[in-house]
Amino acid sequence: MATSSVEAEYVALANATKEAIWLHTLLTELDFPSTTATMIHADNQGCIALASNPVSHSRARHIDIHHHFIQEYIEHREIRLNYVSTKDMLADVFTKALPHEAFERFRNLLGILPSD
Amino acid sequence: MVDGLPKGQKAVDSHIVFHKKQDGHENLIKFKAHIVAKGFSQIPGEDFMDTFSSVAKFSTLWIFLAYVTYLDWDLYHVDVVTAYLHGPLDEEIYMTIPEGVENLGSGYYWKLKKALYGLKQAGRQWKKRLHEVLIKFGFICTFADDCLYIKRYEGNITLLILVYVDDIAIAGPDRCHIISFKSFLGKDFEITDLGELKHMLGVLVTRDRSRHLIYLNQSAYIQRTIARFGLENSTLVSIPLAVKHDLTLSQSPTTEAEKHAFEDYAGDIHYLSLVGSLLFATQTRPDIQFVVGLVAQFSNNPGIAHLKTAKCILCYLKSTVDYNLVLGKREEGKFNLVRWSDSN
Repeated sequence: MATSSVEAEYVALANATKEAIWLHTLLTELDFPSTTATMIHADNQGCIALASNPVSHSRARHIDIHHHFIQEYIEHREIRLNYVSTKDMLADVFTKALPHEAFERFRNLLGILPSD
Repeated sequence: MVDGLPKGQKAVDSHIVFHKKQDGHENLIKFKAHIVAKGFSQIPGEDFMDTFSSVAKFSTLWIFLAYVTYLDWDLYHVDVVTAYLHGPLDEEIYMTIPEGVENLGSGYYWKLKKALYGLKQAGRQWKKRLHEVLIKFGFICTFADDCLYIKRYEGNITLLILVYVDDIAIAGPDRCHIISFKSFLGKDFEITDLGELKHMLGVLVTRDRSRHLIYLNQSAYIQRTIARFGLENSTLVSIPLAVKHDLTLSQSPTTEAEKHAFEDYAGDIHYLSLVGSLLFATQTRPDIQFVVGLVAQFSNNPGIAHLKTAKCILCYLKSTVDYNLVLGKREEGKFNLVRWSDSN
């Protein structure tokens, strides 16, 4: 159970990183090695700060250390983080019920489009 | 056929299954009879060891299709006929002779040379056999997914294939490599050449090669699901779940009366079947992923409100049945990996 939004976002980021590593492996095998660090968009400043500064934070010491592998990936420039505001957070469509306008906008961004 | 079993050996039971094969319009094509093994009578550790056999991940399939579309490669489909009969057996397996087959008398058994449908290890042995054939042709299995194989010539990828049990999607930049692979495969197995890939795992695949796009949809599956749950005449909805939804565990029935009320409301609809059907549709419709996950949380003890929401998702799919998941070159430029992370 996450006790803060930072922790919840941090665990989610760790999962996104794992998936990114897998995709990276697959694409490299397909002769599409990424030349730049994979961008991960997150909407929680605290979480980005925690992942980007590999120092110990007294208020984050309860977060299980195995999630901190993200810090190494950032350091080695395999991934980089970018802050997006909640209104541009595409992953919201997977975490909550959205109003019409936002739902349709995100659905388009996912690539789900009516037949033309 | 053998006379008697070796000491200590037990025979696996067998059975004949009769089947009428029909075409898409329910016209009879032929009668079929399969001899199958009763796998449940096999003894673990003696008649079989491991049974696990991997299949391609859906995410690998989407990346495979996006990749092929992006590069505008040819994409073909073959199907291996009676795939499970090709698996060699590591164990010595004897089987009783099914009723209706000519038999020299009791005490005679068949010793199996290859796997049969019904045997626990049939799927695993088939995969193993196919793997060997593919390696012989010069393929290497990718590290990311062991159902995705690559063949290179002078460093460049000439063929890329994705295996899903007996379905094989074949892609490559040059059609002649695809043709030679198909004829190679045809030497080891009987194959059905399905031409260009049009369906894969119940997903309809359409390409627009001039625009480097591929369209995926499960509309036939969605239509069938709507009919199965009797929602043909339901109203249309434009989003799968209202923002201020109030689904909670407290709506689960607790008393006998509430349970009866739920059963009366549900009628023939089985909640878990509905959730399972919706879950399969999320493959090409990630827009319903959240809400399907939500209704699945109440699978243990669903209430009327939960079932209403689950039905509403199906109504939403019905309203948007002509929507496709579009992959490929959506923007000019390089192939780039971008991810989004969020929690709730």
